[in-house]
Amino acid sequence: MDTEIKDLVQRFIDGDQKAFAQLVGRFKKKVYSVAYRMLGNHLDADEVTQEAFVRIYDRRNQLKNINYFPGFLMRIATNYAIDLIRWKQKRFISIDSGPGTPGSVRLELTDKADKPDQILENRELIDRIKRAIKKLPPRQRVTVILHDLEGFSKREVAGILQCPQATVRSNLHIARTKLRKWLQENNKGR
Amino acid sequence: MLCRHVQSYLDDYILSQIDKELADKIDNHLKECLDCQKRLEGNKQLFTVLKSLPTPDPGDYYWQQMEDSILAATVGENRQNSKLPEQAKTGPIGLMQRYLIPLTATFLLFLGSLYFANPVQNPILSGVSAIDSSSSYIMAEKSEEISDRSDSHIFTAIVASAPGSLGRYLIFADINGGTR
Repeated sequence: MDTEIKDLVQRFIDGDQKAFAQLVGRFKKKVYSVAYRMLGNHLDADEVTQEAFVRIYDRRNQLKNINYFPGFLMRIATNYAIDLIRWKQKRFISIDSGPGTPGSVRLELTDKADKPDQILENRELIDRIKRAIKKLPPRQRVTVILHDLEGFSKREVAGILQCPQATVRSNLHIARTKLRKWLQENNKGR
Repeated sequence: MLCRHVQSYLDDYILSQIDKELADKIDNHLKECLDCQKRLEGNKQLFTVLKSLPTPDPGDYYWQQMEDSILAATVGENRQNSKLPEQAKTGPIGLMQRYLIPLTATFLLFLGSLYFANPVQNPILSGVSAIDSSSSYIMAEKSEEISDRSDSHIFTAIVASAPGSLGRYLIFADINGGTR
């Protein structure tokens, strides 16, 4: 964490509201990205992101070490997202949100293909992997998203999820094995 | 190295998250083992697909709206609930917020009640000679005198009794631009 962010976090803990506003600006996209990937739709991701910042604002006095701010924020967001997933699962509400449905966000492919069939293939592949990720249990899902998609280290993921690194490693292994299996089955079925 | 050992490290090998010594051992094993090579390619495919997942971006307008909402729910909350820091409560701004503003508001209300209790004695009303009940305009003989007393584009409230009517009317007069 660079010194500028450390300074902002310290000022935020001391009650500087401008520093908090700057931290929101710095971290909102990261939190939203994780939430969106976990929940699969814009409305839930928006709720999780806003709630995470409101909660960290309320709990700023609990932040003993300024270096833990990103992890602390991400922990609040992922815990809330997991709660939301479980709450929805209990009520048998699908969290799938296809393109064009309320709350969906138009996404651009990072690797833009020139040919229409390549674009279609890319979209199908992305939809398949997104569906496969959503089939994972919440803890495995968040572990894959944080580590493989968002680039957090195993140590950081362990800190965010409050579990040993061995658990992170184990969850990653199980989740990736499942994803590979589902992708292969899907490939065969096409 | 045994195949099962190599395969347990393949993901970390792809992500370059193992030390060089172990990576060299895996390299050597992969040169000779077709089965592990196939497994490596399969594992690489998953990471390629995961990396190709787009980053959601709802746009600048949304980000600004979100930031505003968060700040309204946090920093804004302080304003509403007066959860100000101790310094703000005891400092000159805090004292002003706690005492001066309520006192001023009370004083203005008191003046307002006196004004409404005696509308005929109001000096502004003395400039009004007649009210044209068929239109929304107020006729004032001493309009210049009234203008001098007021800043431009500030509406002045006038309470008047219209001739032939029982009620009182509250009229907002724009000194520069007529009457509303």
